[in-house]
Amino acid sequence: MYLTSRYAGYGRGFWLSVDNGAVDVRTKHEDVHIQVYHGRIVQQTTTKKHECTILKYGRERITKKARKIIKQEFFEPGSLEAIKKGGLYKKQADIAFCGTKGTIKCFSTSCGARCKEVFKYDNGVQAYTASIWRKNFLLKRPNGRLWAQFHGKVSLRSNPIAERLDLKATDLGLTTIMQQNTWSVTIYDTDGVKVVTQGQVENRQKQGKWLERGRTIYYLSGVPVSRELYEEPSDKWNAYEVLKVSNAQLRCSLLTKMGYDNLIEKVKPRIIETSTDGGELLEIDTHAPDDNNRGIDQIMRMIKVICPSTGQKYVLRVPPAIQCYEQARQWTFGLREESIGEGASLELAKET
Amino acid sequence: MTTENIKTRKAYRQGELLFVPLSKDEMSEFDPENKSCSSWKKLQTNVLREGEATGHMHEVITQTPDVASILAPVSQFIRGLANMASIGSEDRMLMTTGQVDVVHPEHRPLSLPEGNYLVIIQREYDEVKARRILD
Repeated sequence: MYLTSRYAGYGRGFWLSVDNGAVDVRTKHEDVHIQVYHGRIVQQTTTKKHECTILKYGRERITKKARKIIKQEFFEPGSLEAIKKGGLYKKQADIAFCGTKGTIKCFSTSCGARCKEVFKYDNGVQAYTASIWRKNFLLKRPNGRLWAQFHGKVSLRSNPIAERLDLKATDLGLTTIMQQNTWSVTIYDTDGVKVVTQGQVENRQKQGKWLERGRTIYYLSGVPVSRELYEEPSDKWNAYEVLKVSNAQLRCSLLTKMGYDNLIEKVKPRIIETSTDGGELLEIDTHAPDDNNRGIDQIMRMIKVICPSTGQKYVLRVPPAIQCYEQARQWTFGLREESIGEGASLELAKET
Repeated sequence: MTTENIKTRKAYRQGELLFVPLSKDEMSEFDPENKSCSSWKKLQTNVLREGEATGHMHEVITQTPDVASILAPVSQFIRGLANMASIGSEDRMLMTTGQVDVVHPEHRPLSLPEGNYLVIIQREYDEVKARRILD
């Protein structure tokens, strides 16, 4: 190990070799004690006002508060911070969850992937056991009553599920912990008897009938709609009116219920161009009268685009003068028509 | 805004939001530290846009505080980037000093490298004029 100075000022520079022993560094906010053995740092102790962290290189890191161990992390031998393979790799106490403190234990597979997380309240009740293999996830309150039940696999990350859940949200902020895009949830009252929230998520969007804090809400692709609209058969809808719904997300929801093929059947568009990614430039005759004074176009041009995250089809209107799919797509990105004609374009480096 | 004619620009996209990186020249005209520039104001939020129908938000997440700032246009008529439409009241500017993630419940997180971005909303046509997509 070497100690060198940089930017210390003229005549103040130093270079020291330390093979065995200890080095202490003291600053305004923390003290660092470094132990060196055969020229290598083997342990580093950082002491702050209320907290002390002991890092044993290639072994573990221990965090103490008021002399009590609150966090222990175990590392793979020879690495600085790679989690230990095949067993307990983290134990953390004093985590507040549902108004009570508890301890979390995290386990890894023999390959070093996070695989299991167990949270136990300080009173001994187990809040949850989350595992990457389980398709169900149960959550319990500190009194041992059932709190919530999820169907779907959870994702385990460096920060625990107890810290990622949003207890104020009606669905407990489950999108942050679920691994897949489709899952369902049932949340119970404090007695663990009455269902207060229940529903399903498809493609990361609330879908169908949801019970939210005792109220029934109907969703079409994430958009809350009236019961009438939800239950009414889409065959009764006027496809031209659906295409003119101003909110793109609601329009997409209605089109999803109606079915894109059904829409095509109803409005019989002329497909001007089909792109390699499945998008289309369409032309639709609106059947608006010639002398209409509402400024309604007789010809409507639209592009069908597919969202890379949800896989949903969106239909966006474009100016009737646009002639090809790529020009139409570039126009929706905000490029001026004349610039598109001159070859200007936006190239998407990443799309989610 | 600069009149430099950039034919093909790189951009990032999450849902209806497009993140167009700004060059130093373009940024110098927007720079909020420049007192002569009063077209943008800093917002005390990490929300870029909130869905009108779903209430879902595009949020900027950073590992450390003060890495990202979101600015909104103050004046109504700000000239857009070269070849692009003028800047609307719902467009934003995102200034970052490190990597940031943009998250949304329905979309996968989007990691953006350090830099300054003009955040524009995809648009669509109606009979009267082009308007921003209502989410």
